[in-house]
Amino acid sequence: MMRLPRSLALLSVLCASCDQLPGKPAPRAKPIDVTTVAGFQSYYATNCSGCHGVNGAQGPARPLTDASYLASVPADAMLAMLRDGIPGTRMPGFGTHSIGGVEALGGTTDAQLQAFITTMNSQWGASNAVASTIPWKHTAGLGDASRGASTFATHCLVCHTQDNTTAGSVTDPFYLRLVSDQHLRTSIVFGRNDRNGRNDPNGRNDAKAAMPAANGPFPTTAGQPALASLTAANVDDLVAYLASLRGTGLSMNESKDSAP
Amino acid sequence: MHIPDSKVAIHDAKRVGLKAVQWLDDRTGLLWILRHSMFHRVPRNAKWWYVFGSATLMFFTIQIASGIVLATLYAPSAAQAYDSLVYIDTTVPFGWFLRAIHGWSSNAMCFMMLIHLAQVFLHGSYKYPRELTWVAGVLLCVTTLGLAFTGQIMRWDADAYWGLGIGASIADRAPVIGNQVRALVLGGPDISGATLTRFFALHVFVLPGSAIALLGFHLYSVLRHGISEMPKVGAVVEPATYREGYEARTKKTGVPFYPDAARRDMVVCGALLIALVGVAAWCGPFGPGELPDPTNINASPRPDGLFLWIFAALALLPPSVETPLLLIGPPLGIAFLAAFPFFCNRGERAPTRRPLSVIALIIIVVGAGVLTVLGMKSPWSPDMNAWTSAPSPVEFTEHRTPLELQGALEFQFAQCRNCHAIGGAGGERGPDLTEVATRLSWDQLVRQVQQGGGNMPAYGKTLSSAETQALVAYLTTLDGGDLRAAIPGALEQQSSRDAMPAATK
Ligand code: HEC
Repeated sequence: MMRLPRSLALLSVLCASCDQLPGKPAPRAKPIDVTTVAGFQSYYATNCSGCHGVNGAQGPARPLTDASYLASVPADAMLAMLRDGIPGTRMPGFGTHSIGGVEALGGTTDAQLQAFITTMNSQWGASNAVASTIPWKHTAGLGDASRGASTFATHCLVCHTQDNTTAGSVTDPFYLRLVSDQHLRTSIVFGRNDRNGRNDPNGRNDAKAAMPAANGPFPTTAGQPALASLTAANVDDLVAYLASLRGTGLSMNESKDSAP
Repeated sequence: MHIPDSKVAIHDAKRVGLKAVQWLDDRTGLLWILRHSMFHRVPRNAKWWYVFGSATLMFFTIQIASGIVLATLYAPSAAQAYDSLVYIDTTVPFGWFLRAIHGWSSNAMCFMMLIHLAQVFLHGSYKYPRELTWVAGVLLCVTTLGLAFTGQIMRWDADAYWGLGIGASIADRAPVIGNQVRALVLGGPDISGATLTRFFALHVFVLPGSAIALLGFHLYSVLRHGISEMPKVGAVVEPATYREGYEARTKKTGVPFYPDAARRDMVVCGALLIALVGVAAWCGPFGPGELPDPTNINASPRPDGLFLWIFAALALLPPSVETPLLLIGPPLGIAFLAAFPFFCNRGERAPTRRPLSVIALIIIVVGAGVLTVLGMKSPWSPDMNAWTSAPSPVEFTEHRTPLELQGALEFQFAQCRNCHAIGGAGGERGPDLTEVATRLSWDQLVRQVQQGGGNMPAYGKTLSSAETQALVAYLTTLDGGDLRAAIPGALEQQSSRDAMPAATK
């Protein structure tokens, strides 16, 4: 009569230890500790570097080393972008694929994404960076295309002049159909400080001026007076102007492009 | 004399039990079958060589049992299949273990079955009078591989798409009726929910049903003809005299199956069972892997271990031989294997006297082994993480126009990078594109992107004209620094760089 309870005890020990067997699938495939710099770097390298460049810059997509950009985008908006992606664009989401509250394989939890953002800010942000005075977020319908055209002429044409007649420039409808208004706005407000420009107003290509942010300084042709910074209204107008160029061009029926 | 009550009770119970057994035996003949199958005489020299069939049978039994439980938990609909597996893994108590057992036992069953097949072939046991036992065995082999194949599709993850993609492409190539066959396999023109339903029906009804029927016949024939003796040089199979000789020999020198021969089966099966539990507990279940991305069906093919050799063969064969080989090879191979004993059902059984058979077997085993190893390495397989993890080389994004940068982005996003390396990083399934601009003109690039071909998917339908334009504009800047055009027409249309001398560093 002693045998039954003993075997029962053995069974329950076995069952309890089963939960710790190495074969049991982990709830999440690869939990990376993104709070450490090394964890952050490895997460960035596997998931982001393809488009955003080796160290957060000089990739085809927006540089993330832009301290002013990091300071301007609110934390919850950044989290939403990382978690859900930006619908209609080439930015995928990295959040969890959640099933009835159970975290599934491959996804990154909100907590991890939060930690990632924190580490990103401490790595690439700057404590003295101030948020842009021009709203980072695009609001549809604010700008005026014809005013934008004249701002383009004063502020942009000096570098983008050659582009204006060349395929692939910022005014190329093909380019414009591939990008959203938000992309245009972000590029104008923050510029691209990671990348040297293609055209130099003074014809010295080795000077390689970078695309400036909205607060300049804007390069001018030699001898001209300096240009004022762009205002929020200027940016709205510029976006409206570029957006208005989208519809003209060779093929009219783009359906899948990210442009709204 | 006083008999204690308990003894009376036991006596009565025994009597009732005996009666019940007698009744059952009278109506069904079960006891006779049992006695015959357990105590029939088998050749004395049938030693460890003969355990593989029993081991296969044991794993099959495990498959049935664990499969029934899994079928009660699994949701065979495209929307829920993946989630239900995750649910089994994480929420059902020991669900993950059950899946692990089912998955590993499936592999073990196939492995044991193939060894059993090879052993029977090597020992010439398929000869008279066991031709039909062999035929049933070959059909069982096909059914079992079918079960493994359809089982992998049940996971409904990205890997499952390999099987479906292959199935569809094989079906597609059938002349005239290709489309209809494809629709039959996939339950429609494309992979959809109907596909999973169809394969579920195959996996839980059609194939197991066939396997059980075939197995019944297989075992019946084994009992009917007895197991073959170990082959001996000079012991020639002659249909006119074989049966008499076999019966006389087993009567004289044979041993009862139970316990003499069954002992070895039990030892091996017990050891394998322990190993199975250990492996399942240690290594866990298979998948489910990445969620399938329907836009990416061609890019992620990777089958389970058992089918790696097909995977390798398909990847390595030139496309021109692929179609006939795919369509004609398997049916012909199976038919040939099944018909084998009818060509040579007599004569020597000893391997030393059948060098051709032995050489053929060695070639097949070595070939399959080499292909499997290649399949594991699979350099032709896309690198599924390259699109997010292989950075666009800085020298290829510097001084590019906005459109070209969008092209660079599209190159990552459309997962071209998973198959194509640039600047030394990326997949190796397709050619390295670092210098592609020197060998293809603008029009040729457009054509390649839109129409694909030669194992590259066609992107004509998935890319908009602006995306194509951007991609090709980017590709025309990939001239490996500033190499010269290798063909006339290449590098003639680089949308921006001509106007921009500094672009070529
Ligand atoms: C599934 C893997 C795969 C993907 C994804 C893929 N390709 Fe390919 N690609 C190939 C293969 C394989 C070839 C070789 C075709 C041949 O031999 O005819 C090839 C050939 C090419 C070529 C011709 C190269 C040469 O030297 O002849 C170009 C250009 C090309 N691909 C561009 C792309 C672009 C752009 C994309 C993304 C939109 C892409 N590929 C996506 C596999 C792929």
